[in-house]
Amino acid sequence: MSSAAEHSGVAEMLTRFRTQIRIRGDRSGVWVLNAIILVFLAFWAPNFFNAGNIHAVLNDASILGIGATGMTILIMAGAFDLSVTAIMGLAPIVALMFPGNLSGPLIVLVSVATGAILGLVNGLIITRGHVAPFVATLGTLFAFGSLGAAISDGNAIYVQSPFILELAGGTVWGLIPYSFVVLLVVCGLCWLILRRLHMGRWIRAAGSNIRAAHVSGIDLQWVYLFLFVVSGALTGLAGIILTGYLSSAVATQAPNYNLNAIAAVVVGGTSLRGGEGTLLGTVLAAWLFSMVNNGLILVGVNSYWQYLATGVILVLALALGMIGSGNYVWARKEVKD
Amino acid sequence: MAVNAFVEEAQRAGASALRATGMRKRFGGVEVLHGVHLELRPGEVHALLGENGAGKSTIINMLSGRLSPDAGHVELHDERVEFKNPLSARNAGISMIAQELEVVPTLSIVENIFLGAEPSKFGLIRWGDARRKVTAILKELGVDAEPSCIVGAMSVADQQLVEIAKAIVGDFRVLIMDEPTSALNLEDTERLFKIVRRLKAAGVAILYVSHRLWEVFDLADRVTVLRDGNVVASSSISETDINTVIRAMLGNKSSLIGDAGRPRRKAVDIRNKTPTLKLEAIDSGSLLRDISLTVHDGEVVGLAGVLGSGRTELCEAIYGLRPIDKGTLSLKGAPTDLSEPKASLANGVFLLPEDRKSEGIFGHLDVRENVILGYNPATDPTEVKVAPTVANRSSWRLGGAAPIAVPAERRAFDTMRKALGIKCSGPLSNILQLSGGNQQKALFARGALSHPSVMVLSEPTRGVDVGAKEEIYSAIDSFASRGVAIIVGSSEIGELLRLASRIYVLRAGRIVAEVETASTTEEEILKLMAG
Amino acid sequence: MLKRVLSSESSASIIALIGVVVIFTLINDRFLTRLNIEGIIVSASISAIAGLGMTLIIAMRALDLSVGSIMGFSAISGAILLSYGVPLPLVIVAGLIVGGALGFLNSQLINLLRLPSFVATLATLSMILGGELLITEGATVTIRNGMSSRLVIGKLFGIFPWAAVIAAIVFACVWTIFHWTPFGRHVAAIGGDTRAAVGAGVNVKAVTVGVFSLAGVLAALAGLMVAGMLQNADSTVGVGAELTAIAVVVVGGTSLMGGRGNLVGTVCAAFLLASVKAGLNIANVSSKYEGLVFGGILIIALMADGLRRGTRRKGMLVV
Repeated sequence: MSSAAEHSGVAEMLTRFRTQIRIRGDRSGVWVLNAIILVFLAFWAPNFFNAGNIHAVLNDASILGIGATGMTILIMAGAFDLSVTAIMGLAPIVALMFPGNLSGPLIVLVSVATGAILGLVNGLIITRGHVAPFVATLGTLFAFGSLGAAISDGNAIYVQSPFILELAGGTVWGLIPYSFVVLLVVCGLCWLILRRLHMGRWIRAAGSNIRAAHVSGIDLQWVYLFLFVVSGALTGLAGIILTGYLSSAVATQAPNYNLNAIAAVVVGGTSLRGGEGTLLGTVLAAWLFSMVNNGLILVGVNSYWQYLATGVILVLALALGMIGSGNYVWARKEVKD
Repeated sequence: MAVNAFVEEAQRAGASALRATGMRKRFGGVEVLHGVHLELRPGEVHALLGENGAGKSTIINMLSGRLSPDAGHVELHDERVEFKNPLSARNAGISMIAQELEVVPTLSIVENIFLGAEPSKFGLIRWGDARRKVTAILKELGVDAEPSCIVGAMSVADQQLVEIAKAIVGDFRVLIMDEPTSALNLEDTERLFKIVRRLKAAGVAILYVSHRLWEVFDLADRVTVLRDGNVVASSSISETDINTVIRAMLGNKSSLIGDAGRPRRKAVDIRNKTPTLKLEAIDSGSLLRDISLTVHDGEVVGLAGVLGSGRTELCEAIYGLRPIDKGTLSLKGAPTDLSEPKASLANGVFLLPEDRKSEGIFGHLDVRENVILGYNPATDPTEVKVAPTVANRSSWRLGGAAPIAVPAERRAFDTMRKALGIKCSGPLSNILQLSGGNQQKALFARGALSHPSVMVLSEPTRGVDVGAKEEIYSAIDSFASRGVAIIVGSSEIGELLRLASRIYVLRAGRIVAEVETASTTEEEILKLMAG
Repeated sequence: MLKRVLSSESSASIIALIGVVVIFTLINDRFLTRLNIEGIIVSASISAIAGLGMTLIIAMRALDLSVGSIMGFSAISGAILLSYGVPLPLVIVAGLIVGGALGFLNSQLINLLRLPSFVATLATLSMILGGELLITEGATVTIRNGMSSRLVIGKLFGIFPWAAVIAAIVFACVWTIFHWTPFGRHVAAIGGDTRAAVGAGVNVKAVTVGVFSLAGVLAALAGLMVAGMLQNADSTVGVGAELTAIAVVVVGGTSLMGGRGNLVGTVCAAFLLASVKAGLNIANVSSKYEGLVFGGILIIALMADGLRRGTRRKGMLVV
C-alpha cells in the first residue's frame, strides 16, 4: 500500500509542488480575467504597455496589495479589519507630524510602527475586550478616522523627505517601482509565516475551525493579536508610500481602502470563510483592479465607469470561480449531504 | 387529540401505510443501500435496528424527503409518491423526529414548533391559536416551560422534547422516530411511550429507530434488522428475542453477546499510590455539583451517563473548556489550575472531544497537519532525551516563530500512522476524506504526540465502524499499559465495561455511584444512569 | 417591569441614550431646545428607517453593504424626476420601486451566483455608485419642491414631525412583518440555524429575495427623505451609510450571528447617534471628533454586551 518511497521527502515535495502550481478551479477567476483584459488592452490601448504607464499601474497595485496581503492572512484566520482605511491616513500623518527632524527612513518606520500600534489596539479590543473583529474594527474605523481628521486639522501634511518621494516614485530598471519590490518582500515574508512557521499553521487552523483551534490548545489571543498588528503595520507601510506618491498626507487619502482590500482578497480566490487562501491571488487581483482602472482611462472612458467596473469584476471573478469548481446552480446537482 | 383525517383515510385504504420497495442509494460511488424493503402498517410500531453505518439513517432520510433514492419507490397507502423535500413529505403526512436536533436556538418554543407551518390568517400568524396548541402538547410531554421560552436556553433533554413536540403537532399518518430518547431520562421516556401508544391506538404507523434494545422490545410490534445496507431479518416481536436480534445486527462480529465470556478489565492495584488526577468536590457551571473522582497511572476509568447528565461537561471541565467554580483539581497530588486547553496540554492532560467535526478536525488542513498539531519535538523522547515538563511543553512554541521541522514531523506522523493503523492515501490527503474511524484515530494520534500523562476521551468511538472500534480499544489498552491515566466517557455501557476497571455513574450533574467493572452488570449501570 | 427593561437587549442603548442626553444638557442647555430636538428627531428617523431594514438582514445572518449606494441612487432618481415635473407622489413611488429593484438585484446575486451577501453587496455598492456618478456626472441635482421638504422637516398637524411619523409607520410595518408573519419568522430562523430552517421547509431563496428587496425599499425611502431635507441630491448621499447602519443595528443589541433582531434597539441607537452628533455640535466640539465618540460608544456597548451575555471566557474569541 505505501512504500517508503511514497512517503519520502522527494515524492511529497513534488506532490505539493504540483498541487500548488496547478491553478485551482475555484481560483481561476482572477487568472482568466487578467488574461482577457491584457489581450483587450493589447488591441485597444497598446500604450498601456509603456514603461511610464506600467510603472503607475504597478505602483497603484502595490499600494493596494501591501495592505491586502495583511488582509489576506487575517481573512484566512477568519477575521476582518475594517479600520485599514483610517490607518492609511492616520499612520502617515502621525509619522509626518512626529516631533524632531526625522530622516526619511525613520519616518517610514514611524508610520509602520504607528500602524502596528493601531493594529495592537484593534487586537486588544478583540482579544481582551471580547468584541467580534467585524464590529471592533468598525468602531476603530470611525475612531481612527476621526483622530486622523482631528490631528491634521483637515489639512494636508506635505512630504519634505526626498527618501520617501523616491521610495514612492522611483523605479528599478526604469520599470518596476520600489513599491512593487516592497510588495514582493512583504508577500515573501507572509508566505514564510504561513508555510514555514508554526504561526502559519495556527492561522489556518483558526480560520478552519476556531473552536477546534481553541480545544487543541492554540493560543488564539496571541494569534489574533499578532495578525492585527501585522495588518496595521502593513497598512502603515502602504499609507506612507501612498503619501509619498501624492506628496502629502491627508486623513482621507485612501477612501474605501478596506472594501477594496477585501475585494482584492476575495477576487484573488481566498474564501471569506477562512482556513485557506492565496497570497498570489491577492497580488494578481490588486494588479487586475489597477489595470482595469488605468485601462478605462486610456481607452477614453469616463472615470465614473471605474466604480461600475470594480463591482462587475468582483461578480465576474467569483462567478468564474464557481464555474471552475463545478458548483453552479443552473446545472442540476444534488447538493444535499 | 382529534388526530387525523389521514388516519381515517388510512383505515379505509388498507393494510399498508407506508411501503418502501427496492431502495438503493449510492454516496460517491459506494452503494450503501442494496435494495431495501420496508413496510409500515397503521396502528403498529415497527422497530428498525442496525449498527452504525448499516443504513438506517439513509433509509429514513429517504422516507422523510431529505434524500432521494437512486432506485426503488415509496408508496403511501398503495399510491406511489416522490418527495422532493422534507416539507412535501410532511404535507403528505409523514412526520419525522430527527436524531440531530433541528431546532433553531434563537427562536421560542412555539416559533420552533410551527416553523414552516405557521397557522395564519390574512398573512398574519395566529399566535394565540399556536400558543394554545403548544401549551397542551408541552403538558403532555411534561415540559415545564412557557411557549415563549427561547429554546437555546433550555436543557438538551427539553430541547429534544421540543423536537418531538414539533413532530407530533398537526396531522400525520406516519411517524418516524430516530433515537428520540437519547437525551431523555426514564420519566420522560415513559411519558413519550405513553404518547406513542396513544398514537398507535389512533392508527398512526410508527417507525422506531433506536440502539436501546430494551426500549424496542418494550414498545414495538414488528422489528426489521439492517446490516451493511441489507435487510437481514424482519419479523414480529413475539417471534424473536434480544440475542437473535443482536446476532442479526452484528453478523459474525458478535462482541456484544456473551458479555460474561469476555474477560473484564482487571482492576489496577492502586493502593498507596498518588492519583495521577484527582477531583475533589468540584462544582462547575449550572450542572456539575460535588464531583470527586480519581484516576491513577495505567488505570482506565469510565464515566457513564445519558446526554445531559454532565458527562460531557465534566470532561470539558477537567480540560479547561469549562470553568471550575469550586473544589480542587490536583495532578500527582499538586493542586493545578487547568483553566484553558493550553494549560492542560502543558500539564500533560489531553482531551479527545466528543464532536470531532466541530471541535477536533480542521477541514482545511491535511491529515498530517491535523495530527502533528500536538507534536512538540522538545518532548519527544525518541527525538530528544528531555523529560516533558510544563516549561518545555510551552516554551517551544516561541510564539509561533519556531520554524516547522519537517523531517521530525514526518517521522512522527509515520510512526503514529503505523501504530494506529490510520488508513489514508498519503499524508497530504484531505482529512475530510477519511472515514469516521480514521478521523478519530488521527485525533488520537494528535493526543498521543503530546505525550500526555492523562487522557480524557469523550465518546471515543462515536460514529466509528466496528473494525476501527476494536483498533481504538486496543490503542486505549496500550496507552494504559504504558502508564497513561485514562478517563473514558461514553453512552455505550458495553464499551465502558470493555475498557474500564472502574466506572463512575453520573446523573443530573452528580456522581451517583462508583462501581467496579468486574462486579457489575449492564442492567445495574443502566438503572443507575436512568434513576 | 424595570428589571425586564434593564436586562433586555436594548438596555445598553436606552441607558446610553439617557446618559448622553443628560451629559449634553449639562454641558450646554441649548441641547434641550425645540430646534435641536427636532433636528435630532429628523436625523434619527432617517437613520432608523435604513437601520430597520439592516436589522432584518443581520437577523438573517447576512449583510447589506449597498444600503448607502441605494440611498444615494434613489435620492438622485427622485431629484431628477422632480426636476422633470413628475408629481411628488409618483416620484416617491418610483423611488421606492427603484430601491426594491436594486435590493432584488442583490438577492439574485446571492441566490443565483451563490455569492456570500458580503461580497454580493460589496459589488453592488460599487456598481450603483458608478451608476449614480454616470447619471449626475458628478454634479448636484437641485430640488425645488416645497412639499418634499415639508414632508421631512415639516410637522403633521403642526405637532408631530413628519419624519418621525414616517419612521413610526415604518417601524410598525417592519415590526409586524418580523414578528407576526411567517416570512419574518423565517428570516430569524435562517439566521439562527439555517440547517434547521431548511429542514422545516423554509424557502431560503424566497426569503432572501424578500429581505433584500425590503431593505432596498427602506434604504430608498431614507434616501428620498435626505433629498427632500437637503433639497438637493448628489453622489455623496449615503456614502458610508451602510457602515453607520450596521453600527446602529449592533449598538441596538442585535447580534451579528443572527437569529434575532432588536428593532426597538435599532431605533434607540439611531437616536443615540443623532443625539451625540447634535450634542457635540452644540458643545462646540469639532465634528471631526464625531467618529471617535461614536466608535468609542460602539466598542464600549459591545464590550458591555459581551459581559452581559457572559461570553467572556478565557481564551475564547467571539467571531
